[in-house]
Amino acid sequence: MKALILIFSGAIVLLFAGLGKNERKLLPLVWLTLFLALAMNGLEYFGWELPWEQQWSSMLQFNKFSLAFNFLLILLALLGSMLFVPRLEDKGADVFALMLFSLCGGMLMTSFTSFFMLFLGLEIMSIPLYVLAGSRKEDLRSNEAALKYYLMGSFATGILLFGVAMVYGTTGSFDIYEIGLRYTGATMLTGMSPMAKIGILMVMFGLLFKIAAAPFHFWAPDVYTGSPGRVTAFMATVVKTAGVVAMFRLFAISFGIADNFWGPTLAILAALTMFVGNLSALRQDSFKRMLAYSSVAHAGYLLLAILVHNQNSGKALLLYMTGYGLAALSAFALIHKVSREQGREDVSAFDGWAKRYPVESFALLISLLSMTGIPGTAGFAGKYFLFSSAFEGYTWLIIFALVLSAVSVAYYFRVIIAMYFRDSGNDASSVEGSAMSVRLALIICTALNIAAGIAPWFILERI
Amino acid sequence: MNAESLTPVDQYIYLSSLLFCIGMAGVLLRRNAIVVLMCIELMLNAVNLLFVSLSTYMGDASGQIFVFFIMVVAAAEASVGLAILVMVYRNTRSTNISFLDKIKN
Repeated sequence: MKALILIFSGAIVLLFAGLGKNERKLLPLVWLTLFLALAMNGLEYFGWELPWEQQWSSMLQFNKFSLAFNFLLILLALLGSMLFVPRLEDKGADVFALMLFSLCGGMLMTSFTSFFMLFLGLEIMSIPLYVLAGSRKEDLRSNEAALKYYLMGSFATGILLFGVAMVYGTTGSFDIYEIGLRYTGATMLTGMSPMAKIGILMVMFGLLFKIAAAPFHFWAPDVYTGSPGRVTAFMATVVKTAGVVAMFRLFAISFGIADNFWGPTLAILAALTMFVGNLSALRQDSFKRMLAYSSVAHAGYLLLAILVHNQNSGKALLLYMTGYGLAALSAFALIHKVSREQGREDVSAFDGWAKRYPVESFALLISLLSMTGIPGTAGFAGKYFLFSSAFEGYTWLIIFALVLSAVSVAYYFRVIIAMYFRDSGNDASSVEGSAMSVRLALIICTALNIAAGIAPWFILERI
Repeated sequence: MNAESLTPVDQYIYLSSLLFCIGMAGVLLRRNAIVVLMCIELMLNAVNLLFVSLSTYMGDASGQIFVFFIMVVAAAEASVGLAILVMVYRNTRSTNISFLDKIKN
């Protein structure tokens, strides 16, 4: 809770600081806020100031589960703010403040115990993002991304709310534990009513929209490609984590008892998501668009955790999100760098990169290996624990997922081959070194990724 | 007033489901962004109607409080949406969403 208050007040201070002329001081202020929040969250986690299981009038609950995920969210936001150097024309203050507000919404979504907070968290997270997606006002692609994201996002909110109304109509409560109890009783006595079933399905569809799972993913490639790089990275990491965690919490606590009703639907959608994401990524030339489809594919793998919804899959979810988040952040940051230098984002822009940028290429290599799931990286450990937690009940789905992750090697390795085994036509092109903060953040991302791959138990024991 | 003269709650459920479906069809079929925005509002208001009638039916006030939250959020969302629309209009001189296919090409 204190980390949340800290980030919120940091965002307000930042808005006022933007009035002054000292634009240079803004970015360190963002880093300071996020770093303090990270430290505060750590202290809360280890019970130094507050007991773990603190409830805030049955609206929010900060236990080990939500504090661990909050830590991950703040860490990803901090690294994300270090990895992207603002352009000269970007004013900065409003963009960073909106990002911090959005992060606050994400932190509510990991710790809600009531539909009130789920809804408010979702909107506090989404509304700043609609603005952020369009933050390059003159760029038509950014405009298009903002409008598409806005229309699809509010459509999804409407569907989610209709589902919430149906659930409320069958249980008379907004508290997720209370709803779980009511549904347990109802299932034992009479079975689920049709209204409850419609409600659960619509809540599911609304949340699937937000995490860009098929068949509700069609907005994602356009929005991810059109938005400014910083925002895309934020969407693919922080927003996706918050959405999946909210869905996990809700389906584990409230709807867990009815999983033989929604389980098969979600399993089919998970298979469809993996299939569509991986196969469409194969055909893309633009690296950014390829990563957007790969992010859809990863959403499919993450749905496995929701299907199983037990303690082990929650742990695997944390590990998987750590690996994917760190990898996606550095990959999007390097796409940003390439597109600023060469004005294009396709795979051939990376030809001969390893000679010019050894550090950056190594970071991209590790993050692509991690997304593929090569042993020694966090991505492999995450996939291993996630798949093994779901293997008992959903064997066919795990085999399908393994086949598709083998397919994904094809498109991830295209970039690696371009970097290490191709020559760029123009060797004379000037080598523009990255800023100090970017380099530091890339090294942290890579080091954490490898460390989590070698010693995954350290992260698994956090929940 | 006896109980029979009151409208039963299931008719409210049918009405709000119908309104919701009209809104959803509008979002999916119409090409004018302003009409799409109106249809999203219609969907949210259908949800509001559903919440209020269910809340009265069950004699529990929290459903009506939820409606206030939806209204506030819908207002915030609509203002952001209209701002985005103005921004798009300045660049394209149109509110037709089928013009928005620049990213793919």
